[in-house]
Amino acid sequence: MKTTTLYNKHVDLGAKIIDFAGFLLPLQYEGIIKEHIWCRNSCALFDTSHMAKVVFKGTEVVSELGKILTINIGNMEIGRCRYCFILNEKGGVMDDVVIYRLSLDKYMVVSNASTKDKIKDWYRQKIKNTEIIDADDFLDKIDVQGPLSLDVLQDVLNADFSILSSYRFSIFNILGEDNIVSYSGYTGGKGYEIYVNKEKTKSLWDMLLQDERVKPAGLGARDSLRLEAGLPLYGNELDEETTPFDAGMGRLVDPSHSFIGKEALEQGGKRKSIVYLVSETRQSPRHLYKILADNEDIGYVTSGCFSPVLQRGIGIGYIKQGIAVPEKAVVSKDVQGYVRIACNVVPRKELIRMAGIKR
Amino acid sequence: MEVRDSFFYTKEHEWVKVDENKGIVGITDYASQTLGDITFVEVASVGKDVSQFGYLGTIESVKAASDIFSPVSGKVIEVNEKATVSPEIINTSPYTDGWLAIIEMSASDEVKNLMTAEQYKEYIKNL
Repeated sequence: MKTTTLYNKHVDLGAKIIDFAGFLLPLQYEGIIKEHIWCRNSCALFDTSHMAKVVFKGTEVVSELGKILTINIGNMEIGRCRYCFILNEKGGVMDDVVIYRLSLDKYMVVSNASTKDKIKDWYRQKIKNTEIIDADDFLDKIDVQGPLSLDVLQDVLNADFSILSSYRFSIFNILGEDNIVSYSGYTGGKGYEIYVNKEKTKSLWDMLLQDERVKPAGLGARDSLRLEAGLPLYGNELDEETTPFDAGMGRLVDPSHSFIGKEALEQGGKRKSIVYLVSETRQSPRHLYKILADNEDIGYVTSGCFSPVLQRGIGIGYIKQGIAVPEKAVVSKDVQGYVRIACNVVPRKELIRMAGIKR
Repeated sequence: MEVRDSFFYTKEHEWVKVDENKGIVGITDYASQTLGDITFVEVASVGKDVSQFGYLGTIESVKAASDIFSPVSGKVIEVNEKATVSPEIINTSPYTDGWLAIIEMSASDEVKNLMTAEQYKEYIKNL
């Protein structure tokens, strides 16, 4: 089992530790609900060093890296980061990633821990004439998320992070070193991601935690926060059988360049419709529960949890092809089962509005 | 991890406190701590017959849903409405305010199929 640089810090903070994608990581410190609410109201710290970070460099990087990504990276500005997909030949999602344009001929791609080996193999297989640098050898990542995250960073790190707007990054001097900081994250709200050299990770974590507006949050809150913001999780909403169009993110497929999976998508890239569920009670839809309308099995839940903000169950799921998305549905463990949860089916924007999430 | 003396326990971490022919039922401190923040509980309604180790209800935390199994057979005669409205009391007081149901027991000798406090302590130590 692998650990991150901060493993002992998590243990000392009393975290409940779990195995996530082969890493021993904190599930929770004080409790998922407290950490979730703290992140929505103040500032939460997440150790996200388990994620895959790879740098690509060379004169052919735009075409070589670009051919495995759904967006056109050639027209990205330096200092911009964007969310997009790596597809297989069939148009199914191999991974969802954030790409940073570091300079004209240099990019960084940050992807899921759960797909790390597969995706690094894919890079080596597909990308030619380009230097591939595995930044996991020397970089960690800490996410600083919540409405007070900017104030905290300005005060604690003594630099002007207010120059960053959403999905922009810059290089800041932190603890005497140059670090990438981006205005981005996985909570739907305001927040930053800091890339830090492994020797400085512990000092940065401790410095930020000393501020009384800051508390650590674990993977439990990370999951409930992303669900409340209607953000997908690889392995649940996204997998190799699912296309960006299925997941409601066709806007992240740019046909102005050629990439692996493009032809398959052009021959019909939508086989199901993503839906967002809000339970009428505190009971939550759960992974693989069925979605029923008029007692007919019309789809399935991919993720679900209790929303600490809405005080109701929430979920994400898919409705099968050819079936109109209903306004209401019943979510059930099995068609005849004890568990039957009445839900409203809402657009993602409505879920975010209900949860009061602001950037 | 608290274990109450004189209660009886199941392998699925339910407890029953027997008072003549009535059994007060709940989940253990071990279960409530393992689940984390409890967000929802639903127990079979009053009047329902339940069987030993059969389905009694559902309990949910932020992350997961689990079935609750009845430690004894009988009829549900009372359900703890307070736990339904404020399920967090199951985390704070699993053996007292966080009880789930009272069952009118149909076979009092069934407790021989359950663990004593000593046996349950030993059981969770090895999990």
